[in-house]
Amino acid sequence: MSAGGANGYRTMFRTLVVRILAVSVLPLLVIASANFVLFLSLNRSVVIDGHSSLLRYHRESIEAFLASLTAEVATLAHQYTLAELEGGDLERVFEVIQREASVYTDVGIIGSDGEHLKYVGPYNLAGRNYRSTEWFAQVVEKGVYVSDVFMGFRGVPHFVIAVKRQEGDGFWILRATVNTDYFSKLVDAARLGRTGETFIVNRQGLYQTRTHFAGNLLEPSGYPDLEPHDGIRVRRLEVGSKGYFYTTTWLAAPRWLLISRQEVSDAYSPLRRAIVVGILMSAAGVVGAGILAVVVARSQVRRIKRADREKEALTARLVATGKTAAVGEMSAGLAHEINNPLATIDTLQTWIRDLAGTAPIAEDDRAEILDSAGKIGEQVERCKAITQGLLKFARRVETRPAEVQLNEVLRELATILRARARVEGVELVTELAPLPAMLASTTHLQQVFVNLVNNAVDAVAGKPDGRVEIRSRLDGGTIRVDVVDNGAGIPPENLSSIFLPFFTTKPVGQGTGLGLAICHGLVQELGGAIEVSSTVGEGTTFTVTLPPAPAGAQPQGGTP
Amino acid sequence: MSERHRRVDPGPTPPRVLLVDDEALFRETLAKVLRARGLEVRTAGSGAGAFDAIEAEPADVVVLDLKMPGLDGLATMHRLREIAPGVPVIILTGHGTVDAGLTALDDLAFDFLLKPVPPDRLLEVILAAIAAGRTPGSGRTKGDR
Repeated sequence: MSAGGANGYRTMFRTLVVRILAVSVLPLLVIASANFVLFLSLNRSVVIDGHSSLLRYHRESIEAFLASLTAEVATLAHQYTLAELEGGDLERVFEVIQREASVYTDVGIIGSDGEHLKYVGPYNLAGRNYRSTEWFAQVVEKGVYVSDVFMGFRGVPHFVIAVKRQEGDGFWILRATVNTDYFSKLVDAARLGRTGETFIVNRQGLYQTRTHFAGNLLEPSGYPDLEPHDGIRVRRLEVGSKGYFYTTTWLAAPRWLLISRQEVSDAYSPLRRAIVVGILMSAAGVVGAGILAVVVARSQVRRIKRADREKEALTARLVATGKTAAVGEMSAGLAHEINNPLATIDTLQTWIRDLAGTAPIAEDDRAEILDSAGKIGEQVERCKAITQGLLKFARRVETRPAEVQLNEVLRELATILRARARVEGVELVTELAPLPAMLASTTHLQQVFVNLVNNAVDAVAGKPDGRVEIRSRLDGGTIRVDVVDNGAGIPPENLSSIFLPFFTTKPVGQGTGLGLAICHGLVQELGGAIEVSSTVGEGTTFTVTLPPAPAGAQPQGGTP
Repeated sequence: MSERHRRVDPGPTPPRVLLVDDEALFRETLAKVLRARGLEVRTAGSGAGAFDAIEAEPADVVVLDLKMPGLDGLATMHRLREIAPGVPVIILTGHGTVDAGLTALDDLAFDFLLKPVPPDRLLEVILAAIAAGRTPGSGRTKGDR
């Protein structure tokens, strides 16, 4: 009946787990991998776009800054005359342009011959001649000039903004030195991640601002692509053992290359984190699917097991019912065949008694004949009890089911049977727990339990402490009634045949062997089951399980 | 002389019973027992025999077996209704099932008795059937109780 027993269920369980995992985990993995690939390509462009746009804005702000410095120096140069500045206004001018931030290191005035006419600042530069320097030549030629970073007379890297002022026939130059540290900080304000930095190299590739990791001021950067280009350029370079993203753009004036660089691994770290999170989530998904598969498979297998068990039970019941039905049919035929000769015997003994009553014979003989004929009559009654039992068993007198309170039936019959039990010296007790109503014929219920209780009383009759208990209770939605005796018990070899028709252990003439068979048939008809458990020397328990009335059941023929 | 059984008061005419059963020993013994109780009993071993007997001489009540070779009890009863309307019929059979009993009563049998029935009990039913005024179906001992 079962699907190959416990092993079959295990195989079924395993197959189910694998199948559920396959249908849940495979799509999960496909989606995760697709996401991974998509994410990887997307992220690459996101990194590049991020760097590019950052640098574009940054370039604009640096250009604006340099332009504002140049404009400031130019404005000052044209606001004052050489005489005013030399006369002491340069100190005031320096104070004004310094404001709160130390943008400038110093400021000076250089004559048309390159002589340092006036200087305000930390270095002792008065009297120096700049005629031969690059920037002097440039500013004389162009009027306004922003130099590259150079060492100069100070011996420290700096760059200057110089403006030529035409005054009368001659000219003079206002020159301001920009604070390299301030400018470096400004340039490096745009930083990305942990390893990102921004700096400037000139057209020769020399560092023009301070860097954190790349190199020192004025040292060659080694950056390979120094040809001016338009817009933003992003490239990946290997420096030493590390890969870097280099994002570059050229400033308009001076022609400096603004470089922002970041280690590739650092740039990708959000991506890596995302991938890790993705993998963890996928793993959690797989684990979840695994748990789900096990849970679902287990419940499915359990359901199948239960269905199998129910099927087995049903089949067993059908077989048993079939057997009972066949026996029932046979019993009916048998009873009918016996009834006819019984009727003849009964009529004959009546006739014999009639005759004996009037015949001219000795009174002793008459008494003897009447007595014997009477005994024949008694035996006929005995046979009649058997045939009627058989017919009852076969025909199960149809009575209509109605809503019945089983406890009431039990209480009632206990009251009636207690009288008989008392005669036999047996204590009959009831222990009835509240029960739901059930749908059954009261007659059938009475027949079942009268039979069981009578049997139990018979089992303990004459024992000094004979006791029969009727116990009812609700057990998981099923009504259970135990009829318990503390009699001699039933030997195991008899337990299996106890419900078969004509099985009896009572002395000849005291039992028909039909009582329990009828009980069995009736309980089955009520949709219940009857079981027996017994220990020799301790007693026997008959357990009847019956279904409660279905919710909303319409009792049929409730009123007679 | 012990009178262990009831005797019918003879009156002007004793009740006439037709006893139909295919089992001769039972039929004839029962006839003797009933006669000893003051009834006038005739017997027949089959449905056909019953028709002959009742045509030859009327009866006050018919006691009829259900299972007989040839015409069975129910068919015999239907035929008797035509030949002798108003004569109550008591079914006395060893083959009683609830269905057979109900059918017989629905077909206006006076009563339905399952063998073995003590002859004295049968006598009571016979007398009740006659007392019911020969009105078929009106004097059912079961239905009207």
